[in-house]
Amino acid sequence: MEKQLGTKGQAEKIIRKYSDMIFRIACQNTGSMHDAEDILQEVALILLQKDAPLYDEAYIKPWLIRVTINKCRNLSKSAWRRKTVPLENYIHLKNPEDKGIWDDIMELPVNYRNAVYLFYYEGYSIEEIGRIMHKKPATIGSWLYRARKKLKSIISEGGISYE
Amino acid sequence: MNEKRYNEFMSTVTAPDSAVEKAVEGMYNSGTIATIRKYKSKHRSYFGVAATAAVLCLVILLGVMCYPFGAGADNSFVISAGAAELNTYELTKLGELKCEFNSLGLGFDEENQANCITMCEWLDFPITCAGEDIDTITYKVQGKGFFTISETATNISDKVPFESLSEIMPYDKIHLSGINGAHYYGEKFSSFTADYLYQNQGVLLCLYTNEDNGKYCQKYNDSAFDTDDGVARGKDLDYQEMYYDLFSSDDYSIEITARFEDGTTLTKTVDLVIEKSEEENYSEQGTTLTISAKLAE
Repeated sequence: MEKQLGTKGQAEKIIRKYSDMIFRIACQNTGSMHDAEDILQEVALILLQKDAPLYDEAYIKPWLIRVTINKCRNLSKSAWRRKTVPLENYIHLKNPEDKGIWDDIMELPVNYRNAVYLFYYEGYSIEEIGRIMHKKPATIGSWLYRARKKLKSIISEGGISYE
Repeated sequence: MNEKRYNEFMSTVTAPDSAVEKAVEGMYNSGTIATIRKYKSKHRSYFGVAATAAVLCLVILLGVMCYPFGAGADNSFVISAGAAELNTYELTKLGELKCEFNSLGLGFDEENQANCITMCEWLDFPITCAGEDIDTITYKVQGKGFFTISETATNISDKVPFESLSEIMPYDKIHLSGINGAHYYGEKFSSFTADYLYQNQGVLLCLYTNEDNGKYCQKYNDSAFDTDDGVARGKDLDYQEMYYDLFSSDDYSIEITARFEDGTTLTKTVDLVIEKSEEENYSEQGTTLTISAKLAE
């Protein structure tokens, strides 16, 4: 098992490969780029410390997603953070005109955001998302349905079409 | 906003190069994997494994000497957990039942409200049997439990699928973190038979609780409602106490049947006992309970 666990170089390779994914998930969970950067660092350290099977591509990506979400949850329940983070969700977008889209996403409950991201962007199936988030597939399906409905409602108010 | 627009937008959200470099730098500064493993090796070194194996061999040898079940003697077998032989008069620690907050159990529903459903927690199954002229060993869970066996396990037969929780846990396979950090998807079985020489191949024992857990963890749920996103858990609450309440209210046991080469069988039952761990073991991911065993009278 020892030799299968991989090397420091492999861990670095994994962090570089999945840094954008971790960052996106952290951004939409925390609403803050600065927090997302901190989460990225924490996840990198956990990757080293937890004896994660670096050789197993099929395992490592869902594992990173789950650790990232858990880290964000722990951050969100911090009383200190709740007191210090401004109410406005702030993130520096590459295209300022995308601010409306970001605001729409941030209006969704955090679990909905994760489900939408994993389903549409990462291409996971509902059952796979259920395994990652430790939820029943029916729950994930319900989140996706409600998220679509809510996005539709939000966006129709803002004048952007939803398909 | 359609799916394409959503994905286009998401692709523009990328980790700044400086953040990635900082994360990588942090990994290197925190110590190497080798360093971390060296630290861990204090707890689980090759020397320790070899020593444990030597003690186990000694115990088995003594068992063979003390239990003369050779030719002409009655067929019999002893049951061990690690280096310790189980008996009827004292509890032997099997390991820690790993209770993860984010596993099936204390969860959050679609409204982000905390709820309690059946909790299913697990431990690396450490029990093995030793004796002469044994052909196969059959392990069967009694009470709320099931086995999960590594897909790579060999010489396993007569696996009886576990179906009681099919509505609650509809997956054919569940993801588990197993022995020595191995991760795999395993199927659920209420019993299985292993060739004598292949008894312990990445078998996990999962225990679960009643579907209606609400009465036990209402106060924990109430504390979880306090936050905006419903994910916080009350820091002042004793979650080990909650898991202890849940798991100690049921009886769990393992029925072990040895089939000997002469066709005869012998069955023994091991009672499982859940106890609170003495040391403080609360972490971000969960807590543990100690699980011990003794032979049934």
